Order: sequence, then structure tokens, then C-alpha cells
Amino acid sequence: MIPCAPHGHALNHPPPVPDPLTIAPTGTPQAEARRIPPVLQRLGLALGFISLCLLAYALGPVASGWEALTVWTKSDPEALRLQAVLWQLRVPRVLLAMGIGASLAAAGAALQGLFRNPLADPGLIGITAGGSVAVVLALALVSMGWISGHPLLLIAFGFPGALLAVWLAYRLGSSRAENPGGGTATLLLAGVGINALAFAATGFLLAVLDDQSLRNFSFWTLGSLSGARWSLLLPALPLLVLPPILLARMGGSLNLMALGEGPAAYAGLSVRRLRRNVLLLVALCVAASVALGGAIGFIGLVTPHMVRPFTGPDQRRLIPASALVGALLLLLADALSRSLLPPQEIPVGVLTAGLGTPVFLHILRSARGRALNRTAA
Amino acid sequence: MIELTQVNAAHGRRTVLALDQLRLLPGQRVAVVGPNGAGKSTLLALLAGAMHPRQGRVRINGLNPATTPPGERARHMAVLTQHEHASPFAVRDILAMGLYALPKGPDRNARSATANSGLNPDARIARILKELELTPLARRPLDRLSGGQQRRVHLARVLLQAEAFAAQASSTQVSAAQPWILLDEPTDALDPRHALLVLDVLRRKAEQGHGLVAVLHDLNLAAALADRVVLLHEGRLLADGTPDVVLQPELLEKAYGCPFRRVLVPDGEGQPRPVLLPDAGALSCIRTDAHRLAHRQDPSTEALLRPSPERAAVGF
Repeated sequence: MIPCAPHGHALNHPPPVPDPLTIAPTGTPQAEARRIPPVLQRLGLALGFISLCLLAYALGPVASGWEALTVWTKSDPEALRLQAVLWQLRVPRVLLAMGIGASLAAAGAALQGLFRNPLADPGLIGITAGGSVAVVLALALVSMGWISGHPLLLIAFGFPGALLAVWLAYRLGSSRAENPGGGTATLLLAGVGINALAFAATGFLLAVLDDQSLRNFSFWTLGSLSGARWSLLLPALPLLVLPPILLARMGGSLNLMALGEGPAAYAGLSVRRLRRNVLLLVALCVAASVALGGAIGFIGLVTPHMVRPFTGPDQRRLIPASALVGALLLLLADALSRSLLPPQEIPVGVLTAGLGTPVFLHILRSARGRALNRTAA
Repeated sequence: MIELTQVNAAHGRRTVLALDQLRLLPGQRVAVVGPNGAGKSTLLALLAGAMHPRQGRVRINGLNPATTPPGERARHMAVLTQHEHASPFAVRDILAMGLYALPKGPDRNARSATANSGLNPDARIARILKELELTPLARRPLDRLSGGQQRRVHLARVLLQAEAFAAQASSTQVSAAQPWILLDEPTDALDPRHALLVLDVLRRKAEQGHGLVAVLHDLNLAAALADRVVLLHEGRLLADGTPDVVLQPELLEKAYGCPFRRVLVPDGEGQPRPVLLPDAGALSCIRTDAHRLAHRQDPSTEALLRPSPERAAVGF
């Protein structure tokens, strides 16, 4: 035991400390961006966003480039045909890509905050797989004529599957005081397990399905937005748009999870309620995405990591920014998928996986990933 | 006020803490001391509501901490746990999390402005940063700081929470009860100077009317901080009283199982001041015990160590 100096003795000469009574707002990472007035920043972001949307809209096997815009001013039969194609196929497809991208990215950002784990991604940890099994099951029932193929019904099927998977992943893989084995490794292994189970289940359903559904099956496992129609999109759009907004509103509470569950609760956060709400909303995001676009991976993993250097760790900024960037990413990936090898289409899930895997490996190697492995041990 | 009555807490079937009666008053500075596994952290977990007692009653400001919703509980206690996490948030953002349970919305600024101290949240954060000498670190990410610095940041967050709700309680007069400050090893990982700084800040908080309960390993820091020391041993209350009464060599030897010596050294004003040291002979006595244990040759061990034909057969 070290003998203690007489109390107060050592405190007579504290070192001089700068004394600003108010401290400038934080933002080591975003300090550069702060020099531009916020109004201009937002204007610039909005302009960039809109122009990228238009770019994606103008990419395609027909009516590409300026023609996608100028065709609306003409009224000859060929122009009318193109207008119908654009309106019936491409516009809903663009909207669907944005909705799914925003939904998956917001879900990924919120999961990473809740699990305190940078590798929490709906695809990697098996939530997407859980949802897809349920959706493929629904498709099997549709092909047997037992239920209708209404998009809301598919979402309703996918929701419990995704919810079960996200709950399992949470129990196994979040690093918590009462779950010392939980950590990055466990989370990913749980994902491997759930994905394998889902693969087996879809394989079983494959044996039961007829030809038309087989084609649907490959579409669902690879992820594609070629099925986008207004009839599919309109009923499901609220389920794609609302959960990210609600998740963003929980950003302030999700920030507290960075303290760990115990300290967050002592600070006044109802951890159980937040956890329940976030898991429900994430399951909804994933179920809606899977039902409409199949298993599109890596958007939820990659987007928050792209956005974080600009927003910092604050979930109140991170979730909305991830939603916007995720919308753009999937939009551009989908535009590429239909214009790289026309007239053939590459499933968009193939593109996101191809582009996302290097990023995933980079995160695994990075200091952040290693640090998380240490704290989880 | 904190009251524990006939409390029995257990991990599984094993009782880890049994207390007949313990009553702590606001404004007291209570140090909880005892050897490893004596039930110190369990006591804190009971008070913080992280653990249900198997039997008995725990009340803190009249509330049962284990069943009070977190938002309400945060008004009555601020808790520093033994292992706090690092995160990429900036120090001042971490501190702002201590104000999470304050009422939200436009109400919040109005209420804070009319509070007794007349401080808005930013000014509060600036003040506590200064008190704990953290001002130069305010904008640094927490996970880039040293362990001791991180410890001070989390302590600052906890003190900020207690202080903010004290001000709120007195301005709204909903309840006059001051929030309690519950700390598990607040000086853990701190260098001696910052440990003393923290003790000084804690003493001042207690003077402002906060009750303070701190689990401490260093008996001399406990003596410097507390006006009341609770000594636990094997889940039971061994002694409870002023530092002069409790921190006596005979009691400590009973609790820790090693001899202590109490020596007087002059303090800053030349007054004699007791300092506790494990007795100089303690090391050799412990070493002898360990040696005896390690080289114990009772018949059962010998039997295990002796090569036997059956074991050889199965490859031992």
C-alpha cells in the first residue's frame, strides 16, 4: 500500500489550465467542413443528391442519357412507348432502389450502434437470410396457390423471420457485461450459422417449388430490383421509408449505448425499450427490403463506415446520413447492374457483394476491428 | 437516505452479501472497504439496482432501485461502474450523455436557466471539465485517451449527472432529495496526484449535500475521503464507523488476513496523521503461507502424484 500524502497538500499548485468557460462545438473529423456555411453545405449536398438520382435514372438499355429527359417533351408514338417504359419500369425501380438502400443502410448504422460492433450488418449476421427464408417460404405457398403474392403479404412473412434472426444475433453477438463470450467473432460465427441454416431451408424449398418459382428463387438469393412496379412499390413504400426515419429519431438514445448497457441505464436510458424498438425496426427494414429486392448484402455494412469520417460517431447524424448515402449507393449499383452488359442484367446483389467484400475485409484488418476483438475478449 | 434492511444477496445459491441493517445519510462520505470478494461491488450493485436482493429491502431516497424505471432512477443516483467502456465520442459528448435524463425540448433550457446555479448544460460541462482538469481534452475522442484520463472523464460524467439533478430538484422542488453518487473504484488507474484531485472534488460534492458511497481499495485514500467507513468481510459487515474507529490494525488484519501497522506522519500543518501500512513482516508471513501451500504433501496429493500402473496403461 502506498502511503498517502496529507490531504490537499499536493493540490496547492495545480498546473495552469486554459479556461474557456464555453467550449466550441466538437468535431475533429468535421472541422474542415465547418468552414463552409451550413446553408451552402446542405444546398451542395441536395444538388449532388438530385444530380446523382438523375444520372441513375438516365442509365439503362433504352432511353439513356439526355433522351431519358427529352423524351418527355415529345409526343410521337416511339416517344410515348419510351415514356411508358420509363414511367412503368424505371421510375419505380429508381424509387425502390433508394428506399431499400436507405432502409438497409439505416438498419446497419443502428445495429452497429446497438451492438457496439462495427461488423453488425443485416447480411453478415444472418438477418437478411432469416428474412429470405421466410419470404421464399411465402413464395412457395404462392406457387402452390395457397396465398396471394401481394407485397405486403411477403413483408408480413419476412418480418418474423428477420426478427428471429436479429434476436438470435443479439443474444449471441453483442458485447455485454452479462455476455462475456459475445463479440465480433461470436457475432460473425452466429451469422455463419444462421446463413447456413437459411441456405439449407431454401434448398429444401427449392426441391418443392415449380419452374417459375425457381427463377424467383435465384432472384431472391442474389438480390435484384428488376421486379419493381408501381403495384409492388406503392403499398410497401411506407414500410421502407418510415423505419429509417424512426431509427434516426432514436439516434440520441443509441449514442448512450456507447457507454455500455449498464452505464447507459444509470444515465437514464431504458435499454430494454430501446433495444426492443431498434430490433423491431431493423427487422422491418430488412423484411421489406428482402420481400421487394431479395437478399442485397453489404449496403448496411459499408455505408456507415463510409459516412462516419464525415459525421463522427453521433448516431443523430450518422443514421440519416447513412440512409441518404445508402440510397445513392444502391441506386448507382442498380444503374450499373442494368447498363454494364446490356441487354443482360447483373443482379444488383452481385454488384454490392463484389464491391462490398473488399471494404469488409479492410474493416476486419483495420485498427477498429482489432480493437473490438480485444474489448470483446 | 439509503436504507438496507435484512438484505441477503446471492449469485446462484451462494450468498455473497448479508446485511442486517445499514442506513446511510445524505451528505455522508461513505467508503466501502474490504478484501477481494468481500461483497463491496455487490453492495454497490444492490444500491444501483443492477441486482435484486434475494431477501430484504433496499431503498434509496425511498425508491426500490431494482424496480424503478431508469429515467426516474437516474434522478436519484449517478453510478460509476468498475469497468467503463471507451468509445470514439469526444470527451464533451460523453459528458453530455450524463444529462440524458434531463427533460427534453425547449423546456430544458428554460428550466436550467432558472435553476439555482443559473447554468446551461454547456456551462455545466465546462465547469466539471475544469474541476477535473479535463478542459484541454474536451474535444479529443475518448478512445484516444489514457486509461486514467478515461476514468476521470467517466467520473466527470457521473458527477455532472448528480449535479444537474440536484439543481433540478431544488429548482422545481419536486423532491428535496439530493441524488446519490455511487462509485466503484473511482481512483482506479489514476496517478497519485489525480487520485487526490478526485478525492478533493468528491469531498466538495458531499459538502454540497450529495451522499457519496465509494468502493475503495486503497485504505489511505479511503481515510482521506470518508467520514464513515464500512468494512466488509466475507459478505458481512465487520465494522462501520469513522475512519479512526474502523481503520485499526486489529480489524484490518481480521478482514484482510495480513498484519497492518498504523504509523503517524506529520501532515501539511505539522499535525500527526495516521497512515496505514501492511506490516513489514507481512510479506514474509504471506510468502511462508504460500510456500507451505505449494509444497504441501498431504496423502491425497501424494497419491495423485505417484505413478500408478492403471494410469500408465491409459497413457497418463
